[in-house]
Amino acid sequence: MDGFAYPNEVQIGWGLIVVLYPFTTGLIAGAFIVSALYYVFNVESLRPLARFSLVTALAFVIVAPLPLLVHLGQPERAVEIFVTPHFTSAMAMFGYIWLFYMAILMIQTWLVFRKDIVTYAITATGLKRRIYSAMALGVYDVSAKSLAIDRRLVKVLGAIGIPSAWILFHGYSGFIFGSVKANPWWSTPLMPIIFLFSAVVSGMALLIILYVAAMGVQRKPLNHDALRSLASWLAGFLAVNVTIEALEVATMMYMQEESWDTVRSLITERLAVSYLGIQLVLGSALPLLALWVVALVRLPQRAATLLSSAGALLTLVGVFAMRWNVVIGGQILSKSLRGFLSYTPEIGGREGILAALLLMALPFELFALITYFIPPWREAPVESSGIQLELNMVEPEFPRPA
Amino acid sequence: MAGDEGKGTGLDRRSFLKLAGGILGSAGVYAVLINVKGTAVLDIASGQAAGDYDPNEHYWGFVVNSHNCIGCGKCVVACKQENRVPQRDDCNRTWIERYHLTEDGRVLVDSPQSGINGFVGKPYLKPGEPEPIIDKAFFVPKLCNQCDNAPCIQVCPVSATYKTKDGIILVDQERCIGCRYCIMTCPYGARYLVPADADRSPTGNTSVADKCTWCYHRITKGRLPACVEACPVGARVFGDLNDPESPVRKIMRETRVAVLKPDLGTKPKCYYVGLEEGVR
Amino acid sequence: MKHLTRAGLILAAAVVAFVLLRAAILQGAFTLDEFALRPPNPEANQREWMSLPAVYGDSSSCGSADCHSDIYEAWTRSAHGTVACENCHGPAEAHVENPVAKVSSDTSPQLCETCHAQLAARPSAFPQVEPSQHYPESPCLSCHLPHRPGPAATITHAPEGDCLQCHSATNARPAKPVPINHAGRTNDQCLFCHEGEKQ
Repeated sequence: MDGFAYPNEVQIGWGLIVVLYPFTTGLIAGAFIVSALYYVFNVESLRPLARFSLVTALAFVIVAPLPLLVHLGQPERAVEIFVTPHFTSAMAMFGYIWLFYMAILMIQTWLVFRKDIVTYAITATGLKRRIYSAMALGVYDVSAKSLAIDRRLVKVLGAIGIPSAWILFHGYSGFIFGSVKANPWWSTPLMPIIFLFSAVVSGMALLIILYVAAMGVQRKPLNHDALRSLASWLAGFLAVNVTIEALEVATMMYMQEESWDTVRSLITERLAVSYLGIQLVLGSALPLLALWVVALVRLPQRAATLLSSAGALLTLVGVFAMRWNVVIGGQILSKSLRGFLSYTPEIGGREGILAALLLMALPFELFALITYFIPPWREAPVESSGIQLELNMVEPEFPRPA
Repeated sequence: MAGDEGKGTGLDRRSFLKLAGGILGSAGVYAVLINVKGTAVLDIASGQAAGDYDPNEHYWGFVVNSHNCIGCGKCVVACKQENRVPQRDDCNRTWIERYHLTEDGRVLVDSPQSGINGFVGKPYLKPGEPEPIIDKAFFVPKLCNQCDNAPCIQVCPVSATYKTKDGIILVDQERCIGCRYCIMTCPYGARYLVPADADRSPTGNTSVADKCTWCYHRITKGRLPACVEACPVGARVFGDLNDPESPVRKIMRETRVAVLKPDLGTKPKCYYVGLEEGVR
Repeated sequence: MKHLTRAGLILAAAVVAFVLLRAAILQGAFTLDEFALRPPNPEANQREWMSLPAVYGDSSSCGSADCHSDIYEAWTRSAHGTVACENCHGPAEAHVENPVAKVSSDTSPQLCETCHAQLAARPSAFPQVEPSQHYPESPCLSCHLPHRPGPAATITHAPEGDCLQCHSATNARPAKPVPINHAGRTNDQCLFCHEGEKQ
């Protein structure tokens, strides 16, 4: 304790594991938005990344509640969130929102990959065949008409998914913090918006890195137009994100309410490294520069890929720092406005660094598992049983409903 | 679509689907009704009388007189014993803050071990900070304010914390999932989490939220909270806000009282006499 | 379309199953307390809180007729009359219910200091001393009786012979008796506290 804090504030209740939660839900929302940009808004340049982003979102959403479960004091009672949620609590909304959103993502992924699933169901053997058949629900109709209906449903679900991702799935976690009037660092109506935009930004950045890495590992060529398009979208959203975050602090600085002295001290002293250094300079200014160069300047492919990846990586670091600064920063500031506490995550233990790394690794492992069964980058054309299915590197042209 | 005649069941597909739909539909309606009923907001316990005590007859209030407090810490000692609060420094249902106002305008606040062993000597100073000349100094006891518009009740995701008809906010420690949202949201720092390795706990549960209950088990039997009993100088007063002649109502009538952080709209029921500006 | 129907049915079945399960839980079908699979019941919880046992008694119960009424009488009129018995004697509800249970007695100077050490934050009218300068070599209780505290009374006559001859604790002399802990003290010791103004 430095200065004065209420004696109970020494307990930093929401630690590293809780920082992880809005980070992962942000990645989900962001990855989903990229898929929606194609499936709902028909942004053609992102077509090669559409299925990829959907699978990424799915892998992350399945394991999204794990950080929370690990963090709870009584995790076995967590069922209460589903059975008797208290509807005035933003946190209670998690249960149903997560189920709803996961359902949307599962159905969308299933619909988008159905043709592949049916293909694999027909051509695979043994256990794999049974798995694919189950995934196909025993229906092998991939006529143009059924695929067209699938495509339309995907669009509808995407349209439902956007507000549910924004307002519900990630907006609510911003609201959890933004509605806490007791904490001057958290309390602002802008918090859900800030969380939303940094979520989109983090998801896009993750996709860039994952795409470059996945293609690199498999020695497949990158679609540079799609990559450049995504980097441009990221640049745009990052600019908006930085603006809103800056607006929040600038307004506090202008209004100079009672809490300003301690908030200023928080930013410039306690969080100097993680806020000013990492979140602002390393995680916002530098990637802004890198990504806007990619967006505006016609660079050779290698340079563009490098700059996009670097920009994306720094963005991810910046978003993680932002989550840390919000969650931890808000708790190390005493509500007495007279002092600060400190937090260092433990290495081992249920909520320590090792546990966090394990939890962060899980969605990637799940991604690997899912893409083993339904790779979004397609394999070479398969010929067997007289069924010829044309499989390209790009999304097939579906007959668009008139 | 060509109807598929069921093989000898006498029920064709259409009628079967209709029947199934009807059954599912009614089951669904019934289940929805049950669910809606079960989701009634349970913020306020209905207040059925237990024994001779009728929660509907009382509405409890508290007055803290900061002028009188000598910072002896006996209230903190009594509370920890009475309620089996863990003996750690970061687990407090009540505590005492000491304020030193210096001539050069600084406000130095401390609460060594929450005041449980009293206070000694000098106020807390940062290393290298010059010795202040003390202009004014006083103690401020703190505890849960049992807010009428409590943010902690609002944010509990599982309705584990609730307000009784007689105005006390309690935590169902068999329901609490230990998410700590209520602890984050209390503007007064009145709540804490019972540590998993706590030496003792009020209800035997650990990793759940806990807070001062104004000794609910005592006041519902006509006794006073332990801290009020322990205070040797009348810095803590307890009474019934419904009774105009109760000690708290009398004080509220005869002198000026204030609450902590009124701008947050929590409507605390713990009133302070002698609250200095800058005490939060 | 067929696949949509099947998918739709699976989803509908899942939703219905969830709703039915929840309805069952709310109706109290399960009693797995570890998983808190029961509806919230604030009334029951309220009664649980009400039924917790008290650990601290009340000072008035210490002074009841068949207990410590004599000390209580003196104490209640003394300067310590508002200091709860249990502040020095520890929680005593168990002792009230069953007097065989012992009660402690903290006679350390540290305890006195928690209230009476000089502090800027204490009201100036409140009796307080600087412990390092107020007879630090003597225990507080050698001059201050806990149930009748206050500085020692100054004597109103010139000392005649052995103080304790007249002022004995047990003697039936008309002179004011002294507390029991004064037994064996010499005149010098008496005059040290009882002669003239003391801090």
